[in-house]
Amino acid sequence: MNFDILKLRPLGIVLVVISQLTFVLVYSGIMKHGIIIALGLNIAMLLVFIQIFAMLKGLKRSAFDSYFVRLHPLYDPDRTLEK
Amino acid sequence: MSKKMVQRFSESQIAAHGVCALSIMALYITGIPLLFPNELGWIPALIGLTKTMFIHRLAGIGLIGSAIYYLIYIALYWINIDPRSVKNILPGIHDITDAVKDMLYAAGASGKKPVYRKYNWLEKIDIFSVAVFDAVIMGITGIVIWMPWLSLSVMSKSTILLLKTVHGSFAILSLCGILLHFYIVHLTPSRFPMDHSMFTGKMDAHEAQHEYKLWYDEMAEMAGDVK
Repeated sequence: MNFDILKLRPLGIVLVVISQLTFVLVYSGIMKHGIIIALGLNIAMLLVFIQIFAMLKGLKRSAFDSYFVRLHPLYDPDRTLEK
Repeated sequence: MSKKMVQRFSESQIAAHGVCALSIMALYITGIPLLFPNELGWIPALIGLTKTMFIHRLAGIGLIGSAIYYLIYIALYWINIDPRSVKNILPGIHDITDAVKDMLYAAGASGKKPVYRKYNWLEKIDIFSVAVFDAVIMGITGIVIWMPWLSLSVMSKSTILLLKTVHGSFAILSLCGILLHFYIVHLTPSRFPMDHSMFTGKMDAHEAQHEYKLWYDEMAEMAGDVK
């Protein structure tokens, strides 16, 4: 399947805007309940879940990198300085 | 040919960011449904209310712990390693001018994009919203409503109920801040679908030179690399 992931970017922007607007609607008192609010809140939660997934993916990569760097024959812990 | 990379974050920062971020996400998932039980009630129903509250409190400890760690880390780094490092983190007048210039650029009123130091104004708003709203305000109000039997000895019941409302309202504000963070790290055109620098600690030198020119120039100057 030849799917271009870049096509998903506008969708991401729309989802962020919808969820932000939902909070504006709820806290300004314009709309407290209903299908639009339910949709917006669930989208916000979906974005939080996506961030959790991204965090775990990133941390896994970071842990692997850190582990394999230490296994390299030329690795010298004295050269690892925090910047 | 491999790209030239520059060190942006240390391993300690990566680990602290990981704990802090996972804690905040867990706090949203377990806390926001309590504010909107009709719309998001399926989350505590799925996990179980007791477990949801346990995860919420555990994540709260994780967030406050990582905030204290960050504070100690910055203080020690400032005292022992580089006294100039704090100026990269603290907001200044230049951040306000950068924000204005950036908005003018985005609106097409100016053809010149501002040049940034290590962190731009948007990233500073992001980190300070987490540090101030989440760790301090949410942390203090959270501890008060976690242990009402202890809080009642120093404040009235109405104050505790007020703090509960403040806790919920700031949670929403904080979530709006994190959605802004979502945009910065996932949806910025040059970073889509994900910015890995917070996990690898490294950044493409070309990108650093383009996005954080003042920081890059400062690093190059320190390394005696200026041509």
